[in-house]
Amino acid sequence: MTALPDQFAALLPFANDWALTNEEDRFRKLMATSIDDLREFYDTMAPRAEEATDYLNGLDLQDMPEDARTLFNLLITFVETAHPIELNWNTTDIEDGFPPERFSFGDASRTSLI
Amino acid sequence: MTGRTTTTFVGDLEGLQSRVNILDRLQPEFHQQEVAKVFRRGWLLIANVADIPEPNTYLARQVPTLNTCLIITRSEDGEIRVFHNMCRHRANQLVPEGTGRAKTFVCGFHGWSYHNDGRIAVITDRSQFNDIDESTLGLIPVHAEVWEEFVFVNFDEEPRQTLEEWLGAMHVGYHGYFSNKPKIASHRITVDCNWNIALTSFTEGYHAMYVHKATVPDYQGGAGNPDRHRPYIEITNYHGRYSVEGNANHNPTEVEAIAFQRGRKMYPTFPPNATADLGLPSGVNPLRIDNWLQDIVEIFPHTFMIVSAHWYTVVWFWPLDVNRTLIYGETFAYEAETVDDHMAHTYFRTRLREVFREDVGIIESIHRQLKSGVMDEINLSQQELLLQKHYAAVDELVAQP
Repeated sequence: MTALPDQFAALLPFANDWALTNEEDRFRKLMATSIDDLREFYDTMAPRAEEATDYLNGLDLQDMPEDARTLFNLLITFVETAHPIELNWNTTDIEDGFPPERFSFGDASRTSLI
Repeated sequence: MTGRTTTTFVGDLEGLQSRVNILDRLQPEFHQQEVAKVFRRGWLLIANVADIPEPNTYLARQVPTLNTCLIITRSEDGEIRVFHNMCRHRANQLVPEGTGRAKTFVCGFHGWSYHNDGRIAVITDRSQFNDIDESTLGLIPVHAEVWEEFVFVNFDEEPRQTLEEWLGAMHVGYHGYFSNKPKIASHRITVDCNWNIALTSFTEGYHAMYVHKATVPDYQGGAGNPDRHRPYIEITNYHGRYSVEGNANHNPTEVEAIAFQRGRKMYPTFPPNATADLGLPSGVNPLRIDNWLQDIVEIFPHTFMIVSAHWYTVVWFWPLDVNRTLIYGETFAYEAETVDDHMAHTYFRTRLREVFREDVGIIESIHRQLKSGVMDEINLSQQELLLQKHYAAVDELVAQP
């Protein structure tokens, strides 16, 4: 059962799908999401981002409880997927960009940062 | 009154051509010459020592242009050595591509094994071999030298130049800059595009206003530099670099502002006065310009780097044949200690990734256009001086006997 620290319970509906651990998974999720669904995630996360960062900064990154780790992954996924919304793209994939299905990720982008 | 940004050109510009024949370069015969005289003779950047941080670590990396795979090892004594990733018995590949830890490499075919300094350790069922000499059956070495945090290799029988000579003016001025920056991202693609066209789509800033308007609309330019001229462009024996001026009035997005207020300022934001504040060495932002965003550095023949205050990226372009190129990029940044640092890193690496996807999104079409043969020459501006030098350097080496 996915859990978040109590004060972030309102973000729980997004945790299963968006608390992802590495850059590749976040990119693939972004490509599989409509711009409207991404906007819903963005709009929910944006007002809580500073608070979540402050909460996590009080913990030992190497030894966090599971619910805090989920919050960390949710927060970083938010940061990594904010570009289409903030740059006003029409879709989650950039226009005229290299095709996502041909884009691959090396070790540093396939593993968790913490 | 503030003046418009003008470009300081440094280096020997003699003999550079603003019109370059491209069509000839897309012929297989020309490409064979490039492989034989540029890739087989020049020093090639192959790896970052961050991938082999301690004794008994290794990196196995393909060199598709020369149909081989290398093992870059750091052996017990700390020495970095490079070998062909090939068993001396029947040439089987010893370890798969990637990083690992090993004191010995054991062949999966018949169990021969090698110390990580290249000496042979065990020949299984030795008594059944009538005529072999262990002392000649170590792993086949490749000439290797280390510059700053980078391993270079040379496939010539005897290198015609030392790495120091090959790097020329680039050899000095980076001391310590690349240290203590772990890898935070790596991406890889194969493109239907000639390696020269692929690489040189990154080594000028003229395109940025047009190709990158959806990803980084205002990080450069501004009132003092509307055409985004490079304040500094330098060419050397084979290589080239330029500095990029950031827009002091860049408007960060909401998440960008959070990330770089908490963590250190990274692309497309830039920390003002970083050159002095961080004591960056003389090769970084060589002209010491204000509002310095980053330098683009081509390490000829097949890589370029983006060098910025708190991070750098290396991108490799390995020709697979005249029409196809393996491209991979690796990004390194200051060590993240806090969530704030991770916010900055992850925001930065993904914004930069999308800019990179725009750059590579355009090159296959350019290659197809040129292959049509309708245009045989391209026209290069002074802002595209690194391209002029790149092609001149290829031609100089290809012309050698």
